[in-house]
Amino acid sequence: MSQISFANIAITAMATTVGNNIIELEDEKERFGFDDDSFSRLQRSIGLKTRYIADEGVCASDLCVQSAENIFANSGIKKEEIEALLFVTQSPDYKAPSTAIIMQNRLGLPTSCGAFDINLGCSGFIYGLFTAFSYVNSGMKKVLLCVGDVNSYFSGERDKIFTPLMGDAGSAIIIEKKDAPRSFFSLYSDGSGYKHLIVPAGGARTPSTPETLIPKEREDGGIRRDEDLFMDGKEVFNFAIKTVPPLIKEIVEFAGKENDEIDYFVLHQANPYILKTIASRLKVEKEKVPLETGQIYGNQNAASIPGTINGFLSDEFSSKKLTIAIAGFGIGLSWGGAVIQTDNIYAPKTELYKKEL
Amino acid sequence: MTQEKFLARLAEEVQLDRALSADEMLFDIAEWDSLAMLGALSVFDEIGVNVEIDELENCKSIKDILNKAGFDS
Repeated sequence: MSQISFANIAITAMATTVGNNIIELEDEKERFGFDDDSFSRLQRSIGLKTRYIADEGVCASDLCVQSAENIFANSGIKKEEIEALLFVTQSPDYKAPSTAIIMQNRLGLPTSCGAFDINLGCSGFIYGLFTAFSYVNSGMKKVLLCVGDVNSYFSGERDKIFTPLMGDAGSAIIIEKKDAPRSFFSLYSDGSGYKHLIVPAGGARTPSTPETLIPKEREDGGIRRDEDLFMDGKEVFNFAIKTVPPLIKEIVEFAGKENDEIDYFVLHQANPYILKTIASRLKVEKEKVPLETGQIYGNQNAASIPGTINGFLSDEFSSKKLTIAIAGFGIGLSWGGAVIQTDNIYAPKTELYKKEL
Repeated sequence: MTQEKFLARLAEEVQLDRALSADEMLFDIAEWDSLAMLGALSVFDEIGVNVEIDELENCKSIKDILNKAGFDS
């Protein structure tokens, strides 16, 4: 069990940018081949309403750059103070080089800044935050963490199983050395479940061919290419409800806290149904477990935790000292949690992507 | 929760317009699919019984589900 705590390191700013196209699920019935009955059942069970999608050609890095520029323009934090840029994404601008290095240049950060990508999805914010905290713990003063995905990069155009759930977002977070209460992290991985969430082709194991780019109807009724993400919904649901409640219990205990000392449990917003099930098993007040992000913005992948904070809790995080438990879980399989305290951070409301930037 | 109330909640989550009875077989219920099983899980959560989707998949009848929930039907 990897439990690590850090002293005197804190998040001081967090901003999120989402795709500027607001899609009503109702308008996508034909695209995904839903009949009226199955559509209405899906809406009632999963609770999806809208999702926010980027224009074609807009990358996750674009959303994150806008979020980072928001922070630099408005929080008093200066670009020349940044010593590392970490970019958690599964939709990089290119297969190589790391998109973080391109972002270093786009943002005008000093060349003395280290930069690299981290290939993770739903657990990515926790892992990225842990990495940033570790860098500050090693001696850096300020680190910029960016987390984001444009999910159309890897989701099937007509895949009714996965694509209707997904939204596009990019967040930027500043982590810096300052007087702050201890923070607590715990990380897990289980590669035996790698096939439950996977883009099967297009990598080195199964290279891209004309065949891997042909959309086909699959056993689960979804239409996907081999280069689109496959999700075994049942396995992922089972994994989430089995691992997340014990993870939260473990991390809150590690932090020496009780549940009633935690102001919010901000979990990866996979879909409202998984969250409702996890929330009921946590046995905490419903008000402490935000779960609307997936219904409104879609599953924002690694950006869903900051996406929830900027999307629904901006006023709270901007004006108060808060103790939060956060957890990310999913592709890998990979999961992790943390208990951290924030104190009047710069946390503006989520913004739409502006094309002119 | 009584057995009657449990069956009413289950029918609601499965999105049936009628009541469920204990002697029904699941393969006779067209709406009993993976979405319905997710809904059934939430009813189990309401009564504080932890059950996994695999267990629900292995159920053949409403009676099997009631037994899992701790009702002697």
